[in-house]
Parts: sequence; C-alpha cells; structure tokens
Amino acid sequence: MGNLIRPKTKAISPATPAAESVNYNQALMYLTQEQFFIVEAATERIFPADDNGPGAKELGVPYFIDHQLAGEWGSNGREYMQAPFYTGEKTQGYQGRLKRKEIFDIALQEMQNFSMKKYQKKFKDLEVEQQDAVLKAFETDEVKLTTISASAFFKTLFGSTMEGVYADPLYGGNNNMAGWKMKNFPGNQMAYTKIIEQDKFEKMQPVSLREHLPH
Amino acid sequence: MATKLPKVDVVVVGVGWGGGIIASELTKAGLSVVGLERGKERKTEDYYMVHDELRYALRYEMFQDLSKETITFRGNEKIRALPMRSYGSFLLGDGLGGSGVHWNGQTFRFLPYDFEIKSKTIERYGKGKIPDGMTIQDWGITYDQLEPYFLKFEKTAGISGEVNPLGGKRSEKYPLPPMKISPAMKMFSESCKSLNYHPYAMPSANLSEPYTNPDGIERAACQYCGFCERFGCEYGAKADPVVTVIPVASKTGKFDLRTHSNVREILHKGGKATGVRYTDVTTGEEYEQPADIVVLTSYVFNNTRLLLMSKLGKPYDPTTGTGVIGKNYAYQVLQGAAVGFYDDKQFNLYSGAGSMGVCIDDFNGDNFDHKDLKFIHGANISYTNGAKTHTE
Repeated sequence: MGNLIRPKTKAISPATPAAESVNYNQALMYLTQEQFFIVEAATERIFPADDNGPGAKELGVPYFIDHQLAGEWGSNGREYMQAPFYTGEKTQGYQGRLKRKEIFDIALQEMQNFSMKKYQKKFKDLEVEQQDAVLKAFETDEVKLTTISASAFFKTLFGSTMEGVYADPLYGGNNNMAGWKMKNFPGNQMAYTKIIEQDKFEKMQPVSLREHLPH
Repeated sequence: MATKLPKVDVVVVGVGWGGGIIASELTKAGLSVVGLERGKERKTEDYYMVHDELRYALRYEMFQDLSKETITFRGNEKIRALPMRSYGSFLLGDGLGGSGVHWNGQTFRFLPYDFEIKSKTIERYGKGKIPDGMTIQDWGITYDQLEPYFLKFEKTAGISGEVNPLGGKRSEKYPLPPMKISPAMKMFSESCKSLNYHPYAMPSANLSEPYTNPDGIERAACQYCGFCERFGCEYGAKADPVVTVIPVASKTGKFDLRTHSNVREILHKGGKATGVRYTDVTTGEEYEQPADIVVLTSYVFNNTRLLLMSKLGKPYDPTTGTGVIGKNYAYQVLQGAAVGFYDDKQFNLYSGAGSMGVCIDDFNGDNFDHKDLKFIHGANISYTNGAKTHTE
C-alpha cells in the first residue's frame, strides 16, 4: 500500500497568483523518475541556461523527450523493425533490433553505472564538469557498451534535445516559445510577403500552432 | 480469390505527378482511367497544422510508412542487401500526389546536352573521355523533341521563372514572372555577375502571382511562409498533382481514383500487360483490374519491383550489361554547401520558399571545357531562400 500513497510534494506557495495556470503536461508517460532526472541533468548540460536565456530544463526538454519516447518515435513506429537482422555497412544505416525507448533504458542505466563507478554518485548529483565528462565519454565511445553504441545514443540524445528546444511548444518543450525567442525565430507565421524583400531584419512576436485552432 | 473488375481503357499505378498527368491528359482525350494509389487521399485543407518541423520534416509525416513496406539496398553486388529501416538519403513518397506534394518546386528543364550526353561527349572530347564501365547513354529523344512538353507542364503547373541564359532554347517565356528577390539572393546574383557568370532566378512551382492555368485551375500566390520541402502547401500556391492535374481528371467523370489500393502484380500475356492485381489495404481484399494500357508511375523503385516480381521485361544484368529493368538508378544530390556569416548583416531567413533562389549553369552540363578534367557534366550552383528547406 505504501507505494500508492502520494509522496510528500512541495506545497504550492500561496503567493502564486491564481491566474498562473498549471502545466498538466509536465508528468511522465514513459521514463521512470530516476531515468527522468538523468535526462534532465544531461539535456541541461547539452543546452544549458546562460545569458541568452533558459536551458533545456526550463524549456521543458526532458518532458518533450519523455513524451516522444512514449509515442511513435520511441517505438520506431514508422520504421521497418522486422527480421532479418544483420550487421550492415555504415552506409546502410541502423540495422539493430532495439527500439529507441529500449536504447534509452539501456543507455541511461549505463550512464548511471558509469557515474557511480567513476564518481560514486548518481549522474544527477555530479558536478557539471563531471557530467560533461560522462557525456563526453559516451559521445566518443570511450564507454564500451556491448548492446548499443554509446556514441549513437549520444547523437540521439543531442538531436532530441535540440528538437525539444525548437519544436512547436505543442510537444511539451520550447516552453513559452522561449527557444524560438532566443533565436528571433517567429515560429508559425502565415505570410512573409511584406518583409521578404526588405534589408532590415524584422523581429516579430512568435506564433505557435495553437493559434491555428479555434479555442 | 481476387474479384475481377470490369475492363477499363487505362490503369495507372501510383497517382503522383506522373500518374496525375497521364490521368488528366487521357481522360480529357476521352479514355476511361482507373488510378490506383496505395496511400491515403490528400487535400489542401489537411495543412492547417503543417507549419510543424518536428512532425513533417524530422518525423517524415508525408513519406512512405516504412513499418509497412520498405526497400532493401546495397552499394554494390558484393554487399548484402539490407532493409532501409529508417530514412537516410532518399525519401519515398506515398499518398495522393506522391512526392509531388512535399517537393520544393524547383522546376528545371534538362539541358540539351543531358539528352545526348554520350554522343555529345564523344563528339567534343573523343571516345576516350568515357571510361570503361560508365553506363551513360543517350535518351533516344532530344531536348527539341521534348521542348513543347516542358512548356506544357510549365503552363499546367504555373512555373515562375526567368530564362536561363545557358539553357536550351525556349519557344516561350515562363508563364509567370520570377518569385520575389530577397537581399541574400541579390548578393548572390551580384557576386555571380561580377565573376562574369550568368545568374537567373530559379524556376519555381510556387506561384509568384495568382494564376489560372490552361485547364481553368485557379490558384493563389505564394506567401513565402518558408515551409516547402517535406511539407504540403496550405495555400495550394505550390504546384502539386492534387491542386493541378487530378481535379482536371476528376472533372471529366472518366477518372476513377481508388486510394488505399496497393498494386502487387502486373498481369500479362504474351509479353503484353493486360491489367493489374491489387489489394485494398483497408480490407485485405484482392482485385484484378484489366486494362488495355497499364501505366507504372509509382516511382522507379516500385516500378522496377513490380516488373521484376511480375516477370515482365528483361532484368538488367550488371555482369553482361544486358536488360533494362533496374538499370541506372539516379537520384538527385546536393553537395558542397557553403555558408556565409556576417558581423554586420542579419537576414530574414525564416521566410522564403523552397524554390525561391538564384542559380548559375556556368558549371553545369557541358557549359564549360572538360578537356583537362577527369569527369564529365557538372552541377547547377544555387542560393535558395528556402528557410526550413531540408535537402538530402
């Protein structure tokens, strides 16, 4: 029964203005909490908060990745995943049996193991320099894994971090279009006929796909 | 047991540009045409949510669902052919309009040299220029023979462009003026001119102005939203089969379009096609569609596979060089990208269109001397204001 009792969470501050809406999208569809904290820490190192604006964590990237893993992408739903399985040439692309979400399961466990072995701490509790060193070890295949390619996983993690920063906020990342705002990218405008020929850079308030449905 | 359907004049396998044009022209000529398309129906109204790079550009929304069907491939016959599990270099079309829906709309004509590449190369450089094993050949038709049809397509699609100073002779100008010129395009154009090259506006299937084509199809002008390659056009401003030729075929009352219909075999007798066998993929039911004319317009991979599986035509044998089915696959490649960064300039590069660009043919075809070069032909060099254009 103990598992069913909701863990004590931080009470919502009474100072929170009533108008501020809660983002119900920020819960997990696939990852465990432990995995989520690894993804959160790792993506924040790949896209850290700095003077330009928020990092991956504040942008919602970890939720974006969780939701993507839970869906078609995580299950390679539109990819050919049937036998025969053979090791191919590099030019023949991915030929493995594992789905993306299974690769994440293995890789995140390996990241945790590597952190524990080298620093005796979980990945999320490491100093940022140590986190970078772990990520670098995966990126360069310094970590030797038998079931998956460490560098291919890093590439996927890096790619999905960028997707979470810049995809339409409907997917759970790019919170408040802040990813776009940092780049002065106007998102989803319908027409640029007025500015297409002009020399001056036109900065405009971004618009997301939400604007294209009547609410 | 397949259900045998009544015979028609023509059956078209795959309804993209090829199938759509054939359906339009033959129904206008009075023939009855059945169009079999394995994918789903598509229309302009589907694209209210199209400005979504993740879904369309990165998750390949508009392409063939590889979990259902894919191809196997290899670089040469010594390698084991393996399934293409995910998208890498080539993108396979699917659904009504096929790849013609999610293209960039760059609508170049082939150069006269391209049609007669072998004989023209030998004529200028001698036989030794073509090394052993290079399988190039003349097309069997010339640019001049095809010119009226280039023009007809340009009028049907509504191509915006300006005359290529180094291209083949045109009997008429493009039906529409070029698209707008962005500051970056102007820079590219001026740089080319200062080097004595011959820049021209890229021929574009995105309408520079509202346009009514010879079939009476009216379409709106491009809004430069920047979502072209891998996306459908929510304005119908980018020419695709769904907004041009397919409605013309439908209006005749002679075109019977069947989506979710996957052709599995070409039926034939005495070396002549007599119809096709296909599966309704929504029910799994099989049908036989007899026809006097069978047209394969389902992209080269599927066309080739159907011919091989149906044992029709002579398969290409790379050791003897005989046969034609499966010979000489070619795909477009765009290589050698260059990027410029400026400290003092900022461009509105979020805007544009996939074929809004400037290019030169000074290094294309045989427009330059290859005497001392170890290759023939060349490439078009271009700058496109393609915004979210993904080129493979």
